[in-house]
Amino acid sequence: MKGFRCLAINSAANLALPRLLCLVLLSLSCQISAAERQVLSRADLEYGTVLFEYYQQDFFHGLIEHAYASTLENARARSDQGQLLKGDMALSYGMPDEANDIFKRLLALEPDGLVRNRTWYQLAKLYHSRSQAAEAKSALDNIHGELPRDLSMDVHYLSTLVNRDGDYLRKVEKSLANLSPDDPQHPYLLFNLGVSQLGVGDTVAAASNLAKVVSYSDRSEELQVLADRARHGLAQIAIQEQRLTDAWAYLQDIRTQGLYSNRALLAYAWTAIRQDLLTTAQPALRLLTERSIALPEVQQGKVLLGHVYEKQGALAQALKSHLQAEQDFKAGLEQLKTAHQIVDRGQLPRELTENLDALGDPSGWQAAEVSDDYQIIAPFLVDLLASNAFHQVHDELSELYAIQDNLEHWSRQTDQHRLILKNADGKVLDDNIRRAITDSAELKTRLASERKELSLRRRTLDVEEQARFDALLENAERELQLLDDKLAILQERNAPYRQPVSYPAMVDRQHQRIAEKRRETEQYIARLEPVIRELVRAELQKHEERMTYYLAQARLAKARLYDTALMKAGEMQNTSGPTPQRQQPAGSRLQTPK
Amino acid sequence: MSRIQLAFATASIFILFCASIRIAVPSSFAALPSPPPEESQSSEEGQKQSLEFGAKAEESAARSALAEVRAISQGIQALKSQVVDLNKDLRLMEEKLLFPSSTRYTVFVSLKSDRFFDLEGIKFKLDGELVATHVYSEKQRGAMARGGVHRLYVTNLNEGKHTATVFFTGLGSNERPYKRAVSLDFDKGPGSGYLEISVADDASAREPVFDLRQW
Repeated sequence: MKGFRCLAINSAANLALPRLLCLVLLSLSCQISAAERQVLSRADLEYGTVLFEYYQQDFFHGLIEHAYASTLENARARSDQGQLLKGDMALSYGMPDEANDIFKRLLALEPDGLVRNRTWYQLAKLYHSRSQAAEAKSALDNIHGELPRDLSMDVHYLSTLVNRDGDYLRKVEKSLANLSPDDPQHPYLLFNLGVSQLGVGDTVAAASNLAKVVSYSDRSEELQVLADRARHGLAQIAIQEQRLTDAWAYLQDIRTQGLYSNRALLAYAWTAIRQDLLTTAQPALRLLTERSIALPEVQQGKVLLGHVYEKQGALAQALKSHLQAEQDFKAGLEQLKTAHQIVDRGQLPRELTENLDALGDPSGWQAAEVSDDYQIIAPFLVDLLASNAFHQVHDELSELYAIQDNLEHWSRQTDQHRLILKNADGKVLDDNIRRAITDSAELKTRLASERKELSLRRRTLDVEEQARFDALLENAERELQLLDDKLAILQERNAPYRQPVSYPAMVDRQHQRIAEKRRETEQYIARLEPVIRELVRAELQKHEERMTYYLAQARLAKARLYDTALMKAGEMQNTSGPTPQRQQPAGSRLQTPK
Repeated sequence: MSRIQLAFATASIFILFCASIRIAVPSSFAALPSPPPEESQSSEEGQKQSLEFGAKAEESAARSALAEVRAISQGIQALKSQVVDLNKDLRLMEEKLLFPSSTRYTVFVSLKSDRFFDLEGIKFKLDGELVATHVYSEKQRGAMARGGVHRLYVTNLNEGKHTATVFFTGLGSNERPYKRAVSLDFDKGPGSGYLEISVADDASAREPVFDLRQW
């Protein structure tokens, strides 16, 4: 089961890898210097919350923060750069139509060079995501002038995906030479350039770039995976050119663990077999056959191992291997039955998306553990997880579930909103305030009486002392007046603060909107859940067909081996006459099956 | 070579080749739906026919999945936009109900640098009462280090004198646990107010600087 778990994680790592790198790239694409990070105004604080979400790649909340900041008339949100960021978030959140409008509006305003170039780049990205290669290329052609390092990298990267003709790729290769090899994107650029060159038949340049990618393998786990892919690519180029020894060398360097190790082990075994190095093929196949039966490479490896033994003349081992394979395929088919039952359960689509999201976000301290059902089903979905159709449905569903959760949260809040309104309506002046008003009124009366007394006493004083007393009295009069005013204000507050009459209607309106959007979200989820179920079922069916086929092959091989053994035993009986003991063929320890 | 071996030899190497050499998708496109051009997929599929199992069912499921996504794509886009707008309106509504602009007071946390201090958590006391705490995830710290600002707390505050105290916990240089408390006496004026809690670096002293500032 270790292989299962490992593979489940690896498959998710396949998805997580771009996300992790995306974080790195986001840091590059919107680098802000220390000086720029200083908060210089209230607007910076308000807008900082947009960036807080954006840099976490939480584009949904980033867009909400942006909308909120715009309502506060935040200057940064309304600036060209703010609009560019909004467009970027809209595009990343799967709202290309809105992003398209924002970018076009922005370009119509003829912004400064950097914003213009970034906007064209975003538009090119948008067209590429819609598979509109010509439009994407045309958008990239609009990028002019000196580009900051981060944008330059991004543009080159996109160019390798959009422009697949040899001349252009050579230009990209030249400009790549000017970029620092220490940039995190550099090995990916080289890899993609190599693949694109392979696509146009330039195998020499492709091999050269893939070889450069291999040199990054010691930098991180991510780059080790990429280097394994590059080595695999180099090996396949060598195999196609019939340079089996070179292919062999590349395959030997691929790690026996990790995302691409299964393919590599199988290719390694095949290359050995083609060079008649049967003994060398065995360890790779044995290692491979210890892994999950859900993997196509493992299934093929199981049948292949028996054939390698058979070809070597080790018939007993061959038979044992085929018997083991038969058992494993039966177990695999049983696992598939369980997987089918999981698919039929109600919560599968949500569970699938949640588990994938949890695995795709290993950096979050609250990252969740994957569920048991997911662990059973995931090894069968390795290929599916990498497919375009699955990704599109998964992304939409995942966002719809997030919206559903968000709206459910607001639905729960509706009771609180009503309670606030109700409490505000029933608000009265509390006892403390009333007591203070009464006390103040009594104090006022007492002070007024004392003032009269002082006034009378003043008249008993001589003129000089009266003058001094007048200043004191005047001061006391002013203090009394101040107290009078405050008391008057407090007495006027017979009723507490009342919320505007429009509030209940406003709250009701928003609650209606929540209910409407919830219904709408549920409708879309109801349309997409069967689609993802169907994709998973088709994938499981593929596994079933493959395993049934290999099971039949293993059984045929087993029968053939029994036949051979029986025939040999018969021949030996015929040649040596009737003997009480059956003899086994030389070099084998074949036993009669029970 | 047996029949099976021959079939494997011709087909599997080819399948492996096609399956392994795919564009790496590392960059900001990862955040997009980023469908690779469909024509490349179909051409791959054409090459893989010889040893494909369940290919028809898979292809049909993929085709109908993409068709369904396309059919409702515009509707989902509109829904997303409307939900963003609704969230904004709901937040404004809650602020109207709970935090009138005359008394609203918002507390933000910013990181101006993180070389000498790795912020893990914050406790915030207002007028001697603990009112907010937050533990920062790696992602949140990263976002703040790049210019993001965290809205920690929103409350109502009367005009007049108040005291804010913040307790910071995290790792200082050399990965040592580091705790610090900072206090500020301030006057809340009329209208809404902002308080910024900031962590910066003092390059000359090679240590973090904690500051509270009213905006």
